[in-house]
Amino acid sequence: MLIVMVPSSAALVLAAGALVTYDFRAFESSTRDDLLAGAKIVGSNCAAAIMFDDPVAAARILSALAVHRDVVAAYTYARQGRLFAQYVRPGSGAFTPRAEPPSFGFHEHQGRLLVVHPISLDGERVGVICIESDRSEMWVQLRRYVLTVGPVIMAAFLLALMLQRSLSPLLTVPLSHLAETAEHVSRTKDYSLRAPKFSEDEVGRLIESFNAMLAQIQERDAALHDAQVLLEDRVRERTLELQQEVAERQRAEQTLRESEAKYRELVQNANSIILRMTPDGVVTYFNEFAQTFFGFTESEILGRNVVGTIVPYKDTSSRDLSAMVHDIGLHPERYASNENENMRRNGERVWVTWTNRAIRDPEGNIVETFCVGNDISARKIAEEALKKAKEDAEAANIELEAAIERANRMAMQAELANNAKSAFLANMSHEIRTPMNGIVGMSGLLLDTPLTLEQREYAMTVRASAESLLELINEILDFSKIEAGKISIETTDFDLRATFEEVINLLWVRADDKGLQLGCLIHPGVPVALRGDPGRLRQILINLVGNAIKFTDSGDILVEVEARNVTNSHAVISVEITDSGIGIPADRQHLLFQSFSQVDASTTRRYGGTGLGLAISKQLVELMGGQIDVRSETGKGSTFWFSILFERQPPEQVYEPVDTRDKRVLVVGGSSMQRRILKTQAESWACRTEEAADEAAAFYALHRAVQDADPFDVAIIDAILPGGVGDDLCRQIKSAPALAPVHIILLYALARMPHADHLQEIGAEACLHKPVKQSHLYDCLVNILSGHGHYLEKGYAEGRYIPESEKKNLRILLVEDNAVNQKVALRMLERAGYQADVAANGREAVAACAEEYYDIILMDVQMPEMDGYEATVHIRKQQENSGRRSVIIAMTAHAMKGDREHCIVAGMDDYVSKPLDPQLFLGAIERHYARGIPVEAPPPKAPPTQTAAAVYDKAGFLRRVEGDERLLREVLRTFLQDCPRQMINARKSLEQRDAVTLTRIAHTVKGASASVGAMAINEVATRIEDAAREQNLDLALSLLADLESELARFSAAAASEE
Amino acid sequence: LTAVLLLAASLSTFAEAPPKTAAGREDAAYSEYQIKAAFIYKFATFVEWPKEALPPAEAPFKIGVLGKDPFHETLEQTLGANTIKDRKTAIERSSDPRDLLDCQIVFIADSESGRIKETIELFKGHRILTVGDMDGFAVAGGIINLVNDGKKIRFEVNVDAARRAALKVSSSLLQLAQVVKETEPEEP
Repeated sequence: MLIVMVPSSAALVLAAGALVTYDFRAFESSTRDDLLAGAKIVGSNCAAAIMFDDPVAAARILSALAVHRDVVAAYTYARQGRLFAQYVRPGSGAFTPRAEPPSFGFHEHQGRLLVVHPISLDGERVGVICIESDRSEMWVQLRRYVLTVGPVIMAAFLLALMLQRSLSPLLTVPLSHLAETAEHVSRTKDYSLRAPKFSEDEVGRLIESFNAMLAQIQERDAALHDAQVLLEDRVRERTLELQQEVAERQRAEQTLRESEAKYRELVQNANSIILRMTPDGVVTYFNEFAQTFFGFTESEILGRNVVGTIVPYKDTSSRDLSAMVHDIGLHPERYASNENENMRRNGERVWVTWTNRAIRDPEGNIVETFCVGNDISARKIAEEALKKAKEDAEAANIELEAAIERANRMAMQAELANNAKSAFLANMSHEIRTPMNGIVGMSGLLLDTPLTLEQREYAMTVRASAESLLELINEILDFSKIEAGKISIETTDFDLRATFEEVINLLWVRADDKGLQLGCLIHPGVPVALRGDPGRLRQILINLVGNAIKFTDSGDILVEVEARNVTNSHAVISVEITDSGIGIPADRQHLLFQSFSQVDASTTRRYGGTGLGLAISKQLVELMGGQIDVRSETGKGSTFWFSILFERQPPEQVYEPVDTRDKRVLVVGGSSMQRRILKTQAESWACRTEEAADEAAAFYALHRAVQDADPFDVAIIDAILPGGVGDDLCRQIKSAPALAPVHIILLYALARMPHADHLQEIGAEACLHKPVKQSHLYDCLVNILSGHGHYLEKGYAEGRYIPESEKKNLRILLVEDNAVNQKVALRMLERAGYQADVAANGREAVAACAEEYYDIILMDVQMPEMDGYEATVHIRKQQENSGRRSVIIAMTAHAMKGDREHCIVAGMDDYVSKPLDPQLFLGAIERHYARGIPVEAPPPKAPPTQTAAAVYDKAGFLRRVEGDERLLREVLRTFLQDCPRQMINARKSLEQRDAVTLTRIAHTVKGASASVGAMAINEVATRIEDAAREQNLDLALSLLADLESELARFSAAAASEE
Repeated sequence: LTAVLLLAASLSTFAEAPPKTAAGREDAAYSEYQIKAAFIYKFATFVEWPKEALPPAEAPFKIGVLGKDPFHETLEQTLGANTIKDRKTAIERSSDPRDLLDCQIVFIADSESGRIKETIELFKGHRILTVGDMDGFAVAGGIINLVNDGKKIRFEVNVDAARRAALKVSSSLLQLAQVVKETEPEEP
């Protein structure tokens, strides 16, 4: 009863509830939609009113919401939440609107629903609208709904109850019987039970079917049981049968495998020896081939042991074969393949290769060994032959090795001999140089003593001869080294400009002595940071420029450097040395670079030399992978040129001509070559240049530039001008107000460099000495153009000059074992104003250094007891912790390669070769002095100002002869005797318009006058020399008169001094 | 940006700022013409021009001032970088109405009141929103007339004139405006 009632009434209530809830949701949702739609419409209608600030209009628009009965109130807010307009439903009670609009969306508040929505216009928010609803409409609808649905549900419930009550007995009675029967069957498993049947309706049929089902189940149960018993019997029988079958098949297969294996081996080895034997070695099978091969019939061999029949007891190398056979029987697998010596019946030994295999019973025990053999006697014989041949070859090899050893020994002997030769060369050079040192040094010293003219001439000849002999020896040694391939070209970083300027500086004095102009022009764009062998380049240059000086009597020698094929990594440097010398006839030019040849024999007589210089240069250039050649015309001078490919150093600093850009530079005076060089250099720094040969041209150029309003910034003036001296020109320029702003750089010969006070007096800003180094010129230009005042190129900055007082303070130790050399070096030092202590060998030197500190140590290399290298090592060790470091300069007679490296490795700073050349020897000291040897004495005061040229500077003269009054008088007398003769010759040359001779005479007078302190004469002579060189003979003539009057004044002054 | 802020500020303070220049009462920061300038800018939002009457997209929306300009810099300050119909704005001033025929809005200054008939006649047939601030401007055929009632700036809209110029005035705007019908019958 209840079971039927409860679910049906619950379903009814649930359905009613769901309907009410759904409708409530639907009402709520539509209320919200209506409200939001109203807010959107009314809001957008209000936009204009808010924009145009019309609250009245806005309120009017809001009041349109009155049609919605559940809208209680509405507000609009303008920007910043300001309440703008409101609407309140009449009769809904006093309502305080919110001062601030709530956030957008729906809100529940005291049973009321609020919707808040922005008012936008063209995407811009202009205000907010808020509408409040009491949802009255919804409640009304909901109430109406409940009232309708409630009674319907009640009626349905009652009807269901009544129907159920009248219909239930028809079903329940037969069903409860059926249920009882089913429960009984399932509990007792008794399928014979049957349910009673009550009627013929649906329930009656159900019971019938149930009973029929029970009957079927009963039948099946019985049949299933019978079948199961039968199946079990069948399975047991079949399993037994299968086990028997498997065992039979396994046996059959085993038999088949064995017979197959036997058969296969027999067939395959029909042409081989085939036998079987027991593990003891008893033969059980012996095939036909075996019988034929060994000579035993089957009957003879079966049952016998192999040992003693086909296997000998011992083989030819006495190996015990019976033991081996025994072993085969036990471990046939170890002998799966082996070669053995066997025996035929007739005792003949044969070689057989055997394949052995064990035949095992099913348990794995060895039953027999199965052996297959092949005759390899022929192969064995071949092998034996081969082995013999190999032994023969080995014997031959041993002989060959012995031969090689002999050859090596001979080569070593040859090398030893060669080394001995080299050592002999080195020794010879040492042996020759030692006496040469004495000759050159002593004759030099001799020349410094008072001598008669005749004696002086002889002594000078001795020295000149010795010097040429030395040069000759050097060249021959050099040449022989090249010939012997002993010269190697090194590769180091070097500065091309420095190398050239060094050579020019070195040779400039020699050129100047001959009255020649020597200049070097490195064209802009030539890379200077290169890699190569600067020493060899210097040697070539010295040779070629030296030759040019030697073969030129007057005029210019120009060294021009250009670069071709410049890449980032390489550049071809091309050098031309052009002289105005005697020239070389075309048919002789090809001989020039051959060894021992000069233009002709007379040349050799006239100019001297070995003729090896050019050959050496050519060899060196070619060693560096370059070319060398000459262009020349007899009488018109020669141009020697060479070009070498150098590697460039990685990134070179680029010259940035910032301070010099566009500056105007005037180059005044000097030779045209000098002007050209200076102009090119200035132009390479982006200067604009002009040149003027003399004073008049200079003035013209300067004035014109001022008129063009483009005045010169710098004037570079040679101190010697055709019409006067540079100093005067400088004074005149500086005294002309219009021209005065120009900066002036004066160029002097090194010997005539003025003092700073003098420069200031004449108004020049800077001075440089000739030959002008490009780097100095650049520094100078930058310096004065940037307004850093005066630039005075200091002769001493290059290590050419050490003040006398400092020389005395330099502590020098001379280490030399040879008494003559000792004396020579010591006198050279004393002559130059130095004082030195002496040590006779390395040991003494080390002892002396322990006692006292020496600034400079001049160290001979080859000495008894302790040589220079060892002494240097000791001295360096001594000084290690003293914080002071002596400069050690090696003196070596070795002219061989490697000396320099050897010296540097030993810890020396520099080296000079013997015999000592005073210039190089003293230059080395000065060079190191300039690098800053600390000298304890205070720096000397500047030398006194030399004002206008003194008529007779006796003090200077006396200093030069080292206070030797007797020598002074003698030299003076010679000078006074010689001068008038020179005057006469000068006049004669002027009459003949022979400028060359006049130049030489003036040059001679210039040199002589400087040494006796006749400064006035020196000045005039200098001007004559320059005038003559410029072919200005009229000027020379007028100057000659000055010279004569100056000579008279000097004679008088000298006489009064006596 | 300043112009936008100024505009925003001016719009939000209409209520507090008495727009009329009553001496001694003018404590507000905004003058009558600042408000009128803002009105002119806002009218553009509520008025639709036919497509062909608007300048090409990259050309500016032009506002003309005919006669003696009462705005001075105010109009520029108000418009500033603001856009109208997605276009930049440009202001043209002239005393000859024919110079302003390519403008979209023309403000006809008080100085033109003497010849207002002829001026309005000249703009007839052009798609130009004429705005004025003189008595009888709308009645005479001007489209929008700004009226100062002493407390507030209000405006009259001549819907016939607007229709004639093919301009659609938003109903929102009309709700705020005093709608004026022309006294004279339209010419056939």
